[in-house]
Amino acid sequence: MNTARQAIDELISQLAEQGYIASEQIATTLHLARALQRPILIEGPPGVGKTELANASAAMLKLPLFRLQCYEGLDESKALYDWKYSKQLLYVQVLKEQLQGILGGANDLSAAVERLHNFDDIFYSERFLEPRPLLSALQSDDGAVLLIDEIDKADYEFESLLLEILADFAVTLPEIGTLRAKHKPLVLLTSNNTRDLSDALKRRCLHLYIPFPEAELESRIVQSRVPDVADSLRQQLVTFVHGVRQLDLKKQPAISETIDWARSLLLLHADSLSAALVDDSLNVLLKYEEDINIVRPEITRLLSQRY
Amino acid sequence: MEATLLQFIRHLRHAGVGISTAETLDAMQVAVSLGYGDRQLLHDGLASCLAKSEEQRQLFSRCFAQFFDLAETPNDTTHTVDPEIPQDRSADDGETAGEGEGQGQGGGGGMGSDALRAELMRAAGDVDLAAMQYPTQRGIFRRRILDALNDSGRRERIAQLASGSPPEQQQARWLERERETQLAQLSELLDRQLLLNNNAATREFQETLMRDSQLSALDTYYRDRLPPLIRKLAKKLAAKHRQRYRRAKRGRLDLGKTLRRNIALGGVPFHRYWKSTRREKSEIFVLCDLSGSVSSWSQVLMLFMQALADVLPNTRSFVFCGESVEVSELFRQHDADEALAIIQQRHGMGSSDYGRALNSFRQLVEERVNRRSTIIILGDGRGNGGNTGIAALRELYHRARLVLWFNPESQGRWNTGDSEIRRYQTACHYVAECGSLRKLERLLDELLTLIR
Repeated sequence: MNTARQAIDELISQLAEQGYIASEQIATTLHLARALQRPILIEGPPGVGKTELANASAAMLKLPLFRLQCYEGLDESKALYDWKYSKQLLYVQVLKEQLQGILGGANDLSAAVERLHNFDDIFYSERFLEPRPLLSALQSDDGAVLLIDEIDKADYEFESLLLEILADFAVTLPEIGTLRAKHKPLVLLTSNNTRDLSDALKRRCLHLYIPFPEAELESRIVQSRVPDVADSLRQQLVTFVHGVRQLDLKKQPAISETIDWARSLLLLHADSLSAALVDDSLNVLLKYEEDINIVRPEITRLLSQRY
Repeated sequence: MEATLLQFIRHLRHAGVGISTAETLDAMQVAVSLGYGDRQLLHDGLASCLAKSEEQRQLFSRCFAQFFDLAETPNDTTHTVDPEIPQDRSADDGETAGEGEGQGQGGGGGMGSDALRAELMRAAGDVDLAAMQYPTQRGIFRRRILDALNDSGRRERIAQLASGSPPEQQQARWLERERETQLAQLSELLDRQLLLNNNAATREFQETLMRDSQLSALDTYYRDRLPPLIRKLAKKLAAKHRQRYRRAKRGRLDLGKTLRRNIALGGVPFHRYWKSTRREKSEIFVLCDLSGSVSSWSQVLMLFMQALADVLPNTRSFVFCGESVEVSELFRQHDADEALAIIQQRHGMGSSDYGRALNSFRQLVEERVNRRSTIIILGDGRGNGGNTGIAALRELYHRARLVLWFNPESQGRWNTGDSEIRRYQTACHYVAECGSLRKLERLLDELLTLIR
């Protein structure tokens, strides 16, 4: 029964090779998603590595990543498929004479129409299909990773459109019929929780919530991303960020900001945090003037905290 | 194995986590692929397919700890009690772990406390302890389990031994101690089983009662439980009405105009013109009577309106005993509960003077009321024989899109005594009885359908 545990530990180390330090919860869910062939719905505050997880898993599995960024007004012709209208038009023009030849023998209209019927809907075949990210991911030959980013930004209608893909890994095109995935892709959806997603969507997915990481995990993440930062500075930095997250801020600094900050400290050749240094570089960590004003008087207190 | 998982899912549902059949099937697959051996792994795995929001996840974690603590206990027998358990048994440890109720190993000669517990669990499984729902069933289940353990037989044996030779007396004392241990375990088991069911049946019963009964008939015990229930009902309503399908921003094609404008282009519709639709911005005015008999209903209505804030258009709340006062600002500044307390304290408890109330209400809102506004008045229409203020109401009735009167009194008592509700009926679009939470909920549901 330890095989699952082994597989998950392996997954963690493989993700680590790609520079993604996964918590056990993340690895477990990813393992299950592959075992059960279910999509994962990832929620969490911005900047905790939701999108990054998709990138890392694609790199780890050595599969192509198809990314669909959602926004208001996204519809199936941009997300799923479209017809190559100009190609159809061009073919009609080029084939005009051929058509003349085919229809030449017919002496009245109904006979001509009859002959046309004998040809299939050649202009509505897969050859004239312009696959968009969703269809591309289904059609790829040896699997793919499909990232549907910020699904909460899309409309309700789009959510319903996704249901068939998420449940059966198939899409139904009115002109052609149902296209099934050759190889089921690994689907990851991310949401910033700006609105509630429908139950139907949630039901089809495994749910993964990525919170702000523990200090120890965050320290490892920084180490993996910015290896040049000295150990002592890294500890100081992570402790400081954790202190900042305790305050009431408009936007809490996420992992991505911690990493940015570590990088900028590296550029400044700092080997330990001092009040003046933090004061100067605080704008990397915090994105709102109000937040900076809240944190600024607290700097000395936060710096004196022990890891 | 599956039975345990199903039981766990039932436990989750009791705790308020909605789980569909499809998710149950998922959970089974997850359990199979992860195995029951690793507790943390099982927790993470099941959480990913059963808990679909942050709130549910917390509930899940709590239930998981509760449930598998209980279920795990009998398995301790296999793990710890007997070191000579052959090796092959530990191989299927994973299978037995989490098996829960009743399957524990019976342990051999020395009945340690774990072995006793295992025996107890087996008996509990036999009498289907999981069916226990109400605290009042404790006695009967205790009796049944004791019967299954053949307790009376044991007591006889103890009595018999106690009157025998010294070594037999020694044995009797030993058996007696064993029995006491098991009885203690039994009452603990019953407690936990009740906890597991979360008193779900009892709670459900209470909720139906609260939804169906007259508020004035409820005592403080239930009254304190109202706000959470209202929030729950409002959440359901809001979820139902929140789904707003995108309306076409532009209207349909204005054929005439398009043709006319394109004549210059040979009739080819190069420029298209659309009939535009205009989004209407509506407002809701809620006027609540705060006088003795109906004030609790007013509070419920205001609570409801606050909880529905994100699906309703802009809502302004007013209360009156004498003069009407706007209280929207209070709701913005405080929690709903707190705001209600303040309102009650400042404006509440007097006898209602509809004449003054409606006249002052008209003065307050007259300028804002137009054919897109909805006015809801909650009151019993009993003005103690004073001025009815019907003229003011009629004026609003002519201006507003909808004037609704919610009357908490049951319909049979309308128009008795000093009730003026019949006269008000002529100046309202609809007078509805809202004598129970269920009726109020339905009214609001219809209102939402109408104005959204």
